[in-house]
Amino acid sequence: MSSQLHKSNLAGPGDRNLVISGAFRIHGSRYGVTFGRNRLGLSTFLEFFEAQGDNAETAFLHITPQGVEFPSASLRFHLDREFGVAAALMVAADRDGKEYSWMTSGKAGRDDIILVQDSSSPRDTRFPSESFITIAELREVITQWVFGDALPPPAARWVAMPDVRWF
Amino acid sequence: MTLRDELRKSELDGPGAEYLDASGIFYFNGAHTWPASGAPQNIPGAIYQVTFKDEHGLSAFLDFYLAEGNDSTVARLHLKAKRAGAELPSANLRFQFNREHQVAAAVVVAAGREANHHWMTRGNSGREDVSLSHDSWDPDDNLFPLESFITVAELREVVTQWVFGDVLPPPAVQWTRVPDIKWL
Repeated sequence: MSSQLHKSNLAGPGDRNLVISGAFRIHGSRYGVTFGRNRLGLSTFLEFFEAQGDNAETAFLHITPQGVEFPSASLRFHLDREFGVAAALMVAADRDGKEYSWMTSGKAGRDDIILVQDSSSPRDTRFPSESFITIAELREVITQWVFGDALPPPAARWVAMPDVRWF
Repeated sequence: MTLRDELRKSELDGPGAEYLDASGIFYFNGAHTWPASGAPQNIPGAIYQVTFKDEHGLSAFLDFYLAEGNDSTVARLHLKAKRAGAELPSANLRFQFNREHQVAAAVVVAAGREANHHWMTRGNSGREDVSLSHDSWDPDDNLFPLESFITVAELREVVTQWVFGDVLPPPAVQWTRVPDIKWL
């Protein structure tokens, strides 16, 4: 991993609470979720998403300073429930305007599974198989994304990915 | 219903039934803490905003909410124009349920083209040991009367008809007109 970032150094006004939110689809319904400080909210979400989440859709998580329109960090992930694998990609910007982007690196790759960074453009955005981690690891990554301080979440290995252009 | 009080979605003030999204805001896993001084604080676990598309998706969400949702808060459903930036909904439904005793109550506010309409559920499931409200901010002043209590199974039908039916209030239960309940 090239470097690490602390949430306290993310771009945006330094005096705001950070809002941790997500966007995803389940059986066609569009969900937006904002996590609170009670950890039970996240574990309930993870159980629901792992049981019901749409295998065909990329899900998004954001960290946004309260009252600010655009996030300072975003994470995309895609999972395959049947085979228990997932992959994630994240971007962040710090207070000096420097941008960071990382992709998971793991040993759960399989050639018969396709995971994508953008389900609206699956052909062009496939995760490489060396980015595959287990769903148990993804669960830890998300937990650290919401409640931890360091980015990328240290529960998984990450490699720097230059030139990721989305937030 | 005691009066012929129903409205088709096509009669709502707004963009027309086919241009309405059905969405809702729901609270999960809140926990009350009691600081040494001052009022109890509610620490939310998560707040969900869901826009429904089909009955399977709604059913999956209702299973989740009725099993895990915070039944000490009020859930809010909206029928609102799909267009970006639309501010006011054309109709709202608020409900609270009690998981332990499987009872619920709901109110509907619908903006017709000439007047607003307000309805409250009417049922035989009232019990003195359960309080339900239609306003989480001021619950004590907005308690549902016992005669508004229905079963959670009936509530489930009400919500499904709210999202996918054509008639308001949803005909799965009885409703009575109520005076202006101040919010939309």
